[in-house]
Amino acid sequence: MDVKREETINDLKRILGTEKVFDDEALIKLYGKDAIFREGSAIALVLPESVEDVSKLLSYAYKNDLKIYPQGSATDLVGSSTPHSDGIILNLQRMNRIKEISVVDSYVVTEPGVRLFELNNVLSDYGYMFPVDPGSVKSASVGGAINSGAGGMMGAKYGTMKDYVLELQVVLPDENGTIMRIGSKTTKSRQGYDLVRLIVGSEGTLAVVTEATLKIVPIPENVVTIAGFFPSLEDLARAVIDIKKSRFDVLIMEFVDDLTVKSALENTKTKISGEGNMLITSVITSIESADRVLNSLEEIFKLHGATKVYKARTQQESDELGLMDIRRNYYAASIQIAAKTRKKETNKIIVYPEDISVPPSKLVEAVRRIRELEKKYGIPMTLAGHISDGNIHPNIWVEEEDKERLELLPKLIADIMRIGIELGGTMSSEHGIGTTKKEGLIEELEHKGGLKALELMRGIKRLFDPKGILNPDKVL
Amino acid sequence: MQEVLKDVSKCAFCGFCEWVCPTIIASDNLRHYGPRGRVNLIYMALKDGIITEKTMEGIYTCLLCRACELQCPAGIKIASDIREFRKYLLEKGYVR
Ligand SMILES: Cc1cc2nc3c(=O)[nH]c(=O)nc-3n(C[C@H](O)[C@H](O)[C@H](O)COP(=O)(O)OP(=O)(O)OC[C@H]3O[C@@H](n4cnc5c(N)ncnc54)[C@H](O)[C@@H]3O)c2cc1C
Ligand code: SF4
Ligand code: SF4
Repeated sequence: MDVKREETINDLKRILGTEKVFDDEALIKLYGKDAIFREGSAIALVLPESVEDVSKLLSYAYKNDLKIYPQGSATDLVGSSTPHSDGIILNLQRMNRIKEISVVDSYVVTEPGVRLFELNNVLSDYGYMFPVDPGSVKSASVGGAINSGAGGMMGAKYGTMKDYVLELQVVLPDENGTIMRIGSKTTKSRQGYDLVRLIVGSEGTLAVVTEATLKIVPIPENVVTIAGFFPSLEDLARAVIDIKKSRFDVLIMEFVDDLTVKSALENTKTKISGEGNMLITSVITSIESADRVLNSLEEIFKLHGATKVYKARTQQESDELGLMDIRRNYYAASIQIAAKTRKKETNKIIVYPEDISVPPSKLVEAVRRIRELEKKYGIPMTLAGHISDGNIHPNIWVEEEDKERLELLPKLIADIMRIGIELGGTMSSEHGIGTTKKEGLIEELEHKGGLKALELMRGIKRLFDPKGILNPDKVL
Repeated sequence: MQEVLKDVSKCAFCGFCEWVCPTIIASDNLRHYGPRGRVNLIYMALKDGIITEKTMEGIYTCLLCRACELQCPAGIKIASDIREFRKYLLEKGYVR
């Protein structure tokens, strides 16, 4: 080991304690990758237990020009949580206490390492929930969800992470490792420029989040769910328009395209089945209005040609009948197909969920164009998404050593991103920019005449992180 | 070990398996004490020949309870892969 590395590790152990600093090769490799297997090396892995630990580390890093890569559960899909060049991986999963729950004031105070699923388990004892539910809810951490600006299925009703962060404690990458509190424990707060919202989605490039006060909501009294299969996407889209016009209190509205329905049925266990494009809609109701709402929804589904319709009067019934199975299994289906069709059975497979949004009225066109790209590139994909906000997730998979496909992949992804941009939407809806979408960001801003924004963003980065040591080379 | 390598190379690194794992919970979130960590340590060992003290620690603390397997979208036989890998470690002379 070179002298500088050894010195850094010894310093960190002295400052933070030996039990919080690791330099084992396998461990660093394990913490050096994410869910699209972007990999990087690092000098050490640090697992802090308190805000003071983070502050000491950032101060040391500033004084010694050491790069710091903050990380939660490393389930990002854009290469945002992995080290890029030699530095320190700062994993916050051991700061995982829920500090306070206030039902009266509708908030929870939590450390960044708590998984969203665990947070909801605890909140459910109070009849409350945290409504941002990314597909990775079982693994995603609070800190990671804040910094990637995550969204999920219930976004149709509740919005995304940016709508739920009330107050933050963050540590800045400066000489003192300054600990700073921003926002307030109230829903309303006009504290000058909105730095809380600036941190949300900043992908660990501005500050390290060490505590968050998040808004919580009551678990709805009742939720009805309907799932049906439509011969064409156009029919499905017409049903969506009618549902929207009917002023239901929509909680979830998801679609899965016909080819994906087929592959989910062939490759995973599901309780329901059908042919065509699938629409699933959950609506908040009272117990008394459940049947009336379900019947109206069924009428709309059938009016637009749904061939097979499944209904559930309650959340429990929906779970028992497996109405969400096909939508939830489409990621699993991608993995299963990828594994089955690998050219070499010991090759690692990498599943890339893409993440564009278009105005919902442009969704049919977007899906058609994405399927055309599939034919053009000869790379198969599964396709599903949040139809009420036009967020589409094509899942693409590759295997290591498949040079041809690995070379084509960035071009295919660029073309998919372009569809989002050209149709008036965006190339990144929930997953962020990281390292894989930096060019997409430039293209999008250029397309809408907003290139100047990049300059402003660089200025903001310099203000927060004058030495450029915090998650460098990400986003910008 | 080809079969084990084929199986673990399916891992998508989604981490869905971790929240049910008693040992990662008991270790207060050390990744190598959980299924995602163990599966990828095995992959690292079989593919790149990397076996360290932490590999051994992770592999030998598994309870083989299989709680993780129900969560895994890739259908990886996590516990049996770990059991097979322990045999491999013994054969190769890695003793804990
Ligand atoms: C199967 C699957 C499905 C997914 N579905 C969705 C989805 O539906 N919606 C969605 O939005 N995302 C989704 N994702 C992406 C990802 O899981 C989410 O963005 C998630 O919120 C990331 O949480 P994490 O703890 O894994 O963060 P990480 O991946 O560890 O980090 C994400 C970013 O946050 C930064 N960061 C982490 N913690 C901190 C901190 N405390 N302080 C400062 N910076 C920090 C990292 O540097 C990085 O830039 C999915 C991923 C997978 C694998
Ligand atoms: S089998 Fe091992 S890795 Fe899986 S849940 Fe049990 S202890 Fe954890
Ligand atoms: S659930 Fe399966 S695929 Fe996901 S990280 Fe765990 S072992 Fe890997």
